[in-house]
Amino acid sequence: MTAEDYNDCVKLYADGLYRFMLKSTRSVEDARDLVQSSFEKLWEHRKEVNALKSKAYLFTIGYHKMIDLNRKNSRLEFRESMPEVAETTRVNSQRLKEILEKALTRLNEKQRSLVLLKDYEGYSYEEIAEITGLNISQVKVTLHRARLVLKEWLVSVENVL
Amino acid sequence: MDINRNNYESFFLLYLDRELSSTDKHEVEKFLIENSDLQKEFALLQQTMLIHDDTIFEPKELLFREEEKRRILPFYWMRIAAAVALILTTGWFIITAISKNHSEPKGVDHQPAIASTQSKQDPVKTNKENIVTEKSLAIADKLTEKKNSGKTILLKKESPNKLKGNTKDNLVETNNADQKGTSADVSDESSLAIQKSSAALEIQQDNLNMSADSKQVPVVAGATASALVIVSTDPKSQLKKEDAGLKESDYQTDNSISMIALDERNKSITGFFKKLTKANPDNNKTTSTRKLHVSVFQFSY
Repeated sequence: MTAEDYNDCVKLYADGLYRFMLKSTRSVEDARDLVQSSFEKLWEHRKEVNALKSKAYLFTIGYHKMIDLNRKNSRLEFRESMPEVAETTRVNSQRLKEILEKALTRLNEKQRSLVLLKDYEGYSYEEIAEITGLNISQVKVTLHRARLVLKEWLVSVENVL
Repeated sequence: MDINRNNYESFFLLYLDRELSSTDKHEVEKFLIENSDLQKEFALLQQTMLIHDDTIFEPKELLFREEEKRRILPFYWMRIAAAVALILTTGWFIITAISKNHSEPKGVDHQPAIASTQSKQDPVKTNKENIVTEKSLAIADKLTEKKNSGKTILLKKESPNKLKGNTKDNLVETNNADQKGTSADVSDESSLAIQKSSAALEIQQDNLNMSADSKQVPVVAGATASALVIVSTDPKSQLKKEDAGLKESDYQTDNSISMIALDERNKSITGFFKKLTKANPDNNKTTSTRKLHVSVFQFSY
């Protein structure tokens, strides 16, 4: 890819990558650092990257960087305490979006990443498998389990509401 | 696809994840219609789908990049060419200057000295004088032609004793005893030169003293080696021939000096001095002031 292709990637994918990183790390600083380091690596390897696959390459870099960072910072425990969840459930249904984001904390790292890649970026199972290094069956199973966790969470909230 | 109440959840999720073909999607939709009690569960799973937010990364200038511009030297080769041309030109000038220094004698720079000295020491300088080198047979032959009117001056920058002894014998031999040789140390070749110009030497015996004195004249003072200088007169015809480059309307070229300069290695220079008399255009009388003017000077190394 050329420098122009790279800059097009910035325009097209920087927001999505940042969103993915922000939902995954829940830290603005970490998310920004991960985005910048991901694009830095993309720039370094731009001549080896096919422009058509630049997004997948970028998110692959970002995904693995995020995994490394979370492991380094021991930020794998996103599960919040029930009192906070209970407090969240007091909001009305119009804030379902925020509730779901909170529900992401109920997921483990892999489930959360796959849900984010699927819902935010619209990747197929195959593409997610390519990014994460999992096979398609693993992606499918992991995603289905994550949906069921989220569904249970929503059911619990609805019961509270 | 075989969707039923036992496996519908998986097909619902595949449907929501857009992983089904249009046909399979149609089957799921048909199943939902047929099993309306499962529509609530389908809706609940649909709510688990995250919705885009407006999160953006700013400023993106932190991420934009540009290729490093190559350093362009548009005149790179021109600079090299100019440098080469300068070097070649300088080298040419240096080589030219060196070759000039080697070939330019000794005699050239000191010609005015020769002339002025001779004009002081030789009051009879009314004839043309030539300076001929030993090896220049052509000029030597010219001197031979100048038997009757020529005047020869032999100059040698060397020890007087040696000069006197050897040169005298040579001159006597070559000039048939008309001259008292006092002028130069003559090697075999220089003797030959003198023989060649013997006709001039025998003309005026009174000039021998002058030629002996001229050993002290710095004729070849600039020379690094000893040299024999023979100055002799030439006939007018010869002068005119050699004075072809001058304007006779301005000068009367009735005098000239030919010179032979020899060094110890038998290197020689040939030259031609000419004594010019300024012509008076009004009454055709010549002025008394005479200048020694070099019209031709040739070096043969």
